[in-house]
Formats: sequence, C-alpha cells, structure tokens
Amino acid sequence: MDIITITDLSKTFKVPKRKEGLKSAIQSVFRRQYETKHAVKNVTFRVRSGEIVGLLGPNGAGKSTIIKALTGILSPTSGEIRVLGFEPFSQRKDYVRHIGALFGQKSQLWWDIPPADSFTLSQHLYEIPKQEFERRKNDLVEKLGIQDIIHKPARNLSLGERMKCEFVMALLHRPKLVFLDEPTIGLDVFAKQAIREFITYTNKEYGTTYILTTHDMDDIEHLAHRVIVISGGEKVFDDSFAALRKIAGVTKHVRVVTQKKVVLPKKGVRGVMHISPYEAQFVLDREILGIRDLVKAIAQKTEIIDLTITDPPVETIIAQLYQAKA
Amino acid sequence: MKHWLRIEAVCASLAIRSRMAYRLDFSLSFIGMFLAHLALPIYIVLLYGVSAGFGEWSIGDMLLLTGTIQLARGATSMIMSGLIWHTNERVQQGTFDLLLLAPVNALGHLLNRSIDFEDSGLFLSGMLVFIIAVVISGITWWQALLLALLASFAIMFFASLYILFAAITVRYISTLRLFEFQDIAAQYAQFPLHIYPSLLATLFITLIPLAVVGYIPVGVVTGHLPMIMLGSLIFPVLFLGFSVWYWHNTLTHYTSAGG
Ligand SMILES: Nc1ncnc2c1ncn2[C@@H]1O[C@H](COP(=O)(O)OP(=O)(O)O)[C@@H](O)[C@H]1O
Ligand SMILES: [Mg+2]
Repeated sequence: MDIITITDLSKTFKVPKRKEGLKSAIQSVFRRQYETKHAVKNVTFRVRSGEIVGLLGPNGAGKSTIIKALTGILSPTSGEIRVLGFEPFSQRKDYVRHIGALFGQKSQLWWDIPPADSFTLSQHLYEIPKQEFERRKNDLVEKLGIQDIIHKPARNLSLGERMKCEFVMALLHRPKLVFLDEPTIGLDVFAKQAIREFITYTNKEYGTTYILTTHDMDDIEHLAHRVIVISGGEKVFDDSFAALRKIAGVTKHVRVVTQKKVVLPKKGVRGVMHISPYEAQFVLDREILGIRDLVKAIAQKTEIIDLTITDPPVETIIAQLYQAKA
Repeated sequence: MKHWLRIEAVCASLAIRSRMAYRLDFSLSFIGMFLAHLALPIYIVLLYGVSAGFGEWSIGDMLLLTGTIQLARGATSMIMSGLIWHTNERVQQGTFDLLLLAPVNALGHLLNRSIDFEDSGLFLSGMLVFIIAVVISGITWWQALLLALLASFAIMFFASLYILFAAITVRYISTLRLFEFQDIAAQYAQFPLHIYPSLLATLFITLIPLAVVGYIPVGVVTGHLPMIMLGSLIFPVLFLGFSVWYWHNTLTHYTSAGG
C-alpha cells in the first residue's frame, strides 16, 4: 500500500540578488531584485508502507526541501503531495500527529535539562496515557542503551548520545511514518552503527516506514530498501541499492601506508597516485578484486602500517549515473 | 484550550528547571525587573508634583493611568514577553521548523515554548503599582475592579504588538529591536490623549489604539471622559484580529531556511 505519493513536486525560492559594489548595495535598499532558485524540480515518487527509502544526494541537491514539503513545513510551489491520506501543508495540524521527524542538525531537546524531562512534553503534546508513555519510553531507551544518559543535561551529551535521545523524542508517539534528515551527520562509526540498528529494529518490530536523507553511501547500503538519488533538485535514480551498484560500479577509495616500497596488484586497481614510495592512493573496483585479496596482495610484499577505505563521494556516483544514461 | 493550558504548565515547569541551571542569573534579573518598574510611580509623583499635573488630570489620575498600563503590560508579559526573542532565536538557528511538527496551533505552541518567568517580576510590580495608584487616587474598589476589567483591552493591544512583531521576525529575519517599540508604545500611552495634536490623537484611538491602554479606561472611570468613549474599545479587538491574520498569512509564506 502506498502511503506517500508525490507527483511533480516543485519548490522555488525567491532569493534577493546581490551584486558587488557600493552603488548596487544602495540600489538594493530601494529596489530589491530577486531571482528564482529552483530547489526541487518535478519530483515524482511513491513509498509503500514498511519501506525504508533513502534520499541520496550531495549538499544543496534539494533533499531537505523535499523532507520539509513532506512534513508540512513548506508549501509546494507546484505539484501534489499525499501522505497517509493528508495534504501535509494545508492539513498540517492533523497530519503531523501521525508522523515523526528528526533533523540531524536541529535539536528538539531542551538544552539545559535532562532529555528525560524533555520527553514529558511529547507525552502531553500527543496525549499519551502516563503508563503507556512510561512503557514506550523505557522500551526505546533500553533498545538504544541510554538509560543513564537521559538523566544528564542535554548540553553535556556527546552528539551521538544526543541523537539517540532525539530518536526517542521523535518516536514516543509511535508514528507510522518517520522522516530523518541527515540522522547520521557528524557521528562516529559506533553511534552510526547503533542508530542504523535501531532504525532496522523499529522497522521490523513496529513496521515503521522511514524516509531518510543522507550523503553517506554506507547509510544507504546498510539501511535502505530503496534509494532515490537527487541531484540539482531532480530525481536521477530510483531503485534498489544493488541496482545502483550495478550502474555506478562497486568502487572504494583506498589509501595505504607501508613499511617498505608499496607494490600494488595490476588487476582491479586504477587511478593510482603515489604520494611517496611508501604511500599510495587509488580506486579499487570491488567487482574485480575484493578488499581481502587486495590486502593479501599488498601484505605479501611488505607490512601494512595504515589503511583507509572510504566510499567514493556522492558526486562521483552521480557523475557515473549521468554517464550510464548517456 | 484545556490541552493548551496543560502544555503551558509542562513548558512552564521545564522552563523553570532550565532556569534553575542558572539560579543566580534568574533571581537577579527577577529582582532587577521588579525594582525598575516599582520606581515608576515614584517618578510620576516627583515629576507631576513639580509640574502640577495635566489640566484636569490630577496626580492621582496620572498614577491610575500608569498603574493600569503597568498592570496590562505585566499580565501580557507573563505569557508573551518571551515570544519575540524566542522566535528570533528559532528563526536564526533554523529551529522554527521544529515547532511546526507539533500537532497543535503554531502560535499557541510558540507561546507555550517561549514562556519565561523573568517577567513575573513585571507582573507583580504592575499589580503593586496599580494598587498603590488606586489607594492614592481615592477611587472606590468598584471603580478599581472596572478599571482592571477594562485593562483586558490593553492586554489585547499589547498581545497584538507581540504577535505582529513575532510575525515580522519570521518574515524578514529581523532584529530584536522591534521589542523596543513595545516600550515606546507604553511610554506614549502614559500621557493623557489631549496633550497630543488632534491628528495624532485620532491615530492613537484608531489605527494604533494606544489610548485604550490607559487613557480611555481611566478617563471614563474617573469621569473625565463620557461613557460613549468606551466604544473605541472595538479598535484593539480589530487590531488583535489583524495581528492574528497577519501571523497566519506569514506562516503560509514561510520558506524555512536553506540547509
Ligand atoms: N529557504 C530557502 N531560501 C532560499 N534558498 C533555499 C532555501 N532552502 C533551500 N534553498 C536552496 O535550495 C537548494 C536545495 O537545498 P536543500 O534542500 O537544503 O538541499 P540538501 O538538503 O540536499 O542539501 C539549495 O541550493 C539551497 O541553497
Ligand atoms: Mg539538507
């Protein structure tokens, strides 16, 4: 069953035009000139109940704007949005009761008091009976392993700890559908891992549908059933992660530091850049050579001192998507 | 309304707990506010004692005028004074969006979230100034009660200003300077209307209904003005209607911030 249908969504912003120089600065006081910024252009997609859908795209692609339109914060310039039978912007007050939302860079918690106190606001906003509220809170808090953390003032928490508390805040009213805008931004690997596990758990246990934005390929790989790639306000891809991999390739960026002179295998390695005789940077094609085999091949010749493997940036993937289309 | 009051109570308790994190700051600003406003009637007695009042208006009447204004301002501040700086902060940090995720009226919730107890000092001193004025002016307690009831129109006027300025803040990502207009308005309202040129006086009854804040209620209760002047109390009601409309209009044009 589709719970979200977006048809031809566009959103434009009027932004004041700024030119340099004193003269135009003075002019702009009297007659401001505006230009139109197309943040989202004719985006269409559907989401079924129980899905985890990832919106992937570089900074400024239009992901947050789509989330804001979906959560009823922004009105669409044109196009139609239906979520859970509501039109989010015009029916905001009734609609938002059924959804949860979390913005990685904006906090719902009260800064100077413990999150446990902040949670009581949700209890009353959503009119959750006291016992039920305690039950849900304990369940979420336990699952995230933050029993002690919720009693410290929010301002003393690490970003990862705080983000876990934000999740509790966003889920206390048991929304069927949850929007996450960059939920893993700035987190260390452990916190990321914990949050991914939590999302998967609530998705399985309660059938919670998730729409999340990210520019982290790992999030998509580990979480999303489906990935929608957004670039320049447009939808450029909408399919499974496996399908994305097929088109965009299965590459990793590798940097290796060795004891003696580094010797790289010929197959599966390209774009090699020797920073020094003992340090190299290159792109690994995992379809040809696995990470295990790569490490083995290098370690046969010399000892590995340091090794970093990262995903290619989203921009690279998008470039490959455009290439594949052409 | 019941739901709103419950949330207001929860937010009040959370706000107090937040404030308690900075206990000293809290009590100092409370006392400071209280003393500053208590000084007003003393100022008036000194000033008008020397200048012999304003025509028919005696020092007692002038004190009533100040008392009514302070009472109304204090009452309005109790729930609204945090509105502008809170809105300003949210707009600047981009967290105004989050407010719209609450399944309640946005303005109502903004009021919930901006509650700030510093101004209970203003309310207490407002009450005190009012009582002092009633005693000195020698009006009956019935007249005083009527005056307090009429002060609700003044509350409407001040509330409208807060709402209007909060909306302007959201629309134009503006400055906290707007807040000062409220003080300026109260200062202009502190004088009997007949000292202003007639054009300004008309303006202060209609478009910017400053006169209803003190001059008209006090004038009618003390017999300086005819009862019919109470008809002008329609203007603060209209003014409130306009501010609320402007607020809603602002939300329909809300663009959030980039990022
Ligand atoms: N309120 C706004 N006013 C003007 N421009 C905006 C506003 N919000 C977003 N934009 C612009 O729209 C584009 C998309 O922004 P956004 O949706 O935040 O991207 P993303 O979340 O993918 O990084 C960007 O170019 C951004 O500068
Ligand atoms: Mg964003």
